[in-house]
Amino acid sequence: MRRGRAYLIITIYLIMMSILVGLVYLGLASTANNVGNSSSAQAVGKIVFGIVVGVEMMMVCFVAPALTAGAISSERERQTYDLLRTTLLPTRSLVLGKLTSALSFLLLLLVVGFPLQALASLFGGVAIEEVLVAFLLLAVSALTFSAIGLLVSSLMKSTLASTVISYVAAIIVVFGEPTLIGIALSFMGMLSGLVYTSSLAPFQVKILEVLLYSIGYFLIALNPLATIIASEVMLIENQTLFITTLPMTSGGNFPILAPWIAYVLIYGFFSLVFILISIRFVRRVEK
Amino acid sequence: MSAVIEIVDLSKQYSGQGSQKAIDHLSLNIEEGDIFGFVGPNGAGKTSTIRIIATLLQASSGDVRVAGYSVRTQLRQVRNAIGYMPDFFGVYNDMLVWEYLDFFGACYNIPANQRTRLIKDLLDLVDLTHRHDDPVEGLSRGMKQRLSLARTLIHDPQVLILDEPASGLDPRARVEIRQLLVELARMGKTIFFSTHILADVAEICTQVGIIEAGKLVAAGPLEELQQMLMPHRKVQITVLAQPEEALTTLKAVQGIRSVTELHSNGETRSRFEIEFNGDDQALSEILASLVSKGIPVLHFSEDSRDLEEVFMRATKGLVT
Repeated sequence: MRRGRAYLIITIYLIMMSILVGLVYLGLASTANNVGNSSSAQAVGKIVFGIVVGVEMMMVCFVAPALTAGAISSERERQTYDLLRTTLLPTRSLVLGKLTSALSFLLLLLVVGFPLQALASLFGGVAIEEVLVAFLLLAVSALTFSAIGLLVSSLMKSTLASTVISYVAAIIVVFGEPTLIGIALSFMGMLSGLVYTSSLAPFQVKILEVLLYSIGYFLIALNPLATIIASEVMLIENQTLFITTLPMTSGGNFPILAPWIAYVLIYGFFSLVFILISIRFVRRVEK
Repeated sequence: MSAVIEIVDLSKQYSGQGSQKAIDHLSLNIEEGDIFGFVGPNGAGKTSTIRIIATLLQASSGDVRVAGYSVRTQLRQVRNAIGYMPDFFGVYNDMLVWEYLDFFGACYNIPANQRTRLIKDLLDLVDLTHRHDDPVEGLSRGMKQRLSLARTLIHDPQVLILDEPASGLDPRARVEIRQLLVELARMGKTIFFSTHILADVAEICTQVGIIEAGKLVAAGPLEELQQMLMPHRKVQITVLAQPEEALTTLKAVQGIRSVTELHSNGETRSRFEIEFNGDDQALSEILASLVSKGIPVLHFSEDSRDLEEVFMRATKGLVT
């Protein structure tokens, strides 16, 4: 943060977020019968909070790769890589140091957004648990998308190529998955219709229903925005943050963990794998 | 003295190179305290050899031991024993000079409370004390080279591995680097550096190795290489008059292998170059012989057997 660029980025980010929140509030206020009414206020608070978190999630998904896509490749391009490799600096320290540097800046961007989240809390309708879960999802996303950029950077010689590939990966995860989810859900809807009208035995129907629920749940837990929405829906409808049940047409209930828990576990696991692979690649001696 | 760098039957072949090897069964021992100049044309294998010693490149076969540690299996110990400077290197432009050294000091696990004093001493050694708080990006090429040399010394290594340390420098900067290297050798460092600037090698090296097309064609003290590759002495003689008599006299002397008359446009004097096998006594008798015949000798001097000539005789002009 020695140069002014970092401060400029933060300033522009905050200005844009503030304008967005302001516009959303004004839009809601103009349509609400009475903003002073507590239920209207809570609804406004929830929407503002949701938008802030959504924008922050987009920011994390698309800024994190930019911060780490050049972590290792830029050292090669700048011809400082060999200088580092011949020191006693352990490879894991080099890789984790680069990751920590990127995460620190992302964390700073998240922290400066807290006042906007607090603004939403003033309206009510946002529990402290939601704030904490949202922050956890943002932090894990920051870690994973940074790790993606780091992995690609450790493989590529060129920062440009590394950045392109990292962004393609981020786009696939953020936008490609919902498309896949949509297709999968339509397919599952069709399949479930067939299942119930078919002459399958009850236990077979149950198994298929469990399979369909599991696939749908897994797909949702793989996407950051889908996870946020699904977790929020679960909180609103079932008033629970951790475990809930879904009714099964074949009888009984299907217990599921809150999507955010699965998301944290899955993305946490992938982050660890990406980081370990990055360390392995950086440790290699050129053949 | 023990060999601090042992290169044992080292070979390196890059994929896609066909049968041509970048390094072809190279064996070399560098003793402690030597300044070893590794000379060769572009593409000869100098940088590949240096990168293998610096643990940045895997050898195809053979091994290198630095201070007793193998570059194949004991990378960390080798890295602790060497200070490496590549031919092209970057700097971190956002850093100040002292921060640059402080960062690399931290990379070598030097405690923070020792680094401040160490940085001051190193900057003093490389004559950059006056740039202590300046941004690295503002330094000239020569200053960056000196700063990089300071970086290689931050952990007090036994051996310095330098790839073309004077490359791209102006004459003054080259002289400064040479003086620094001599000073470092005097401090007990062993220096292994590659170069194609023969003047640098001739000035400071205690040992020279000439490599071409991956093969070591000659190695040893410079005087030995000169004697081996250029056993004949060359003498330049200028006479003011009687050139034919001078030529006849010279051709009659035993030990003179060849006499060449050199002509210059517009000169009234005559110049000869002789190749001579003989000692200093016999050389002085040639001069006496010319003078005794009344031939006015203006100039009589022996050419130093410079490294350029040695290099040209050792190499064939092959390019990898």
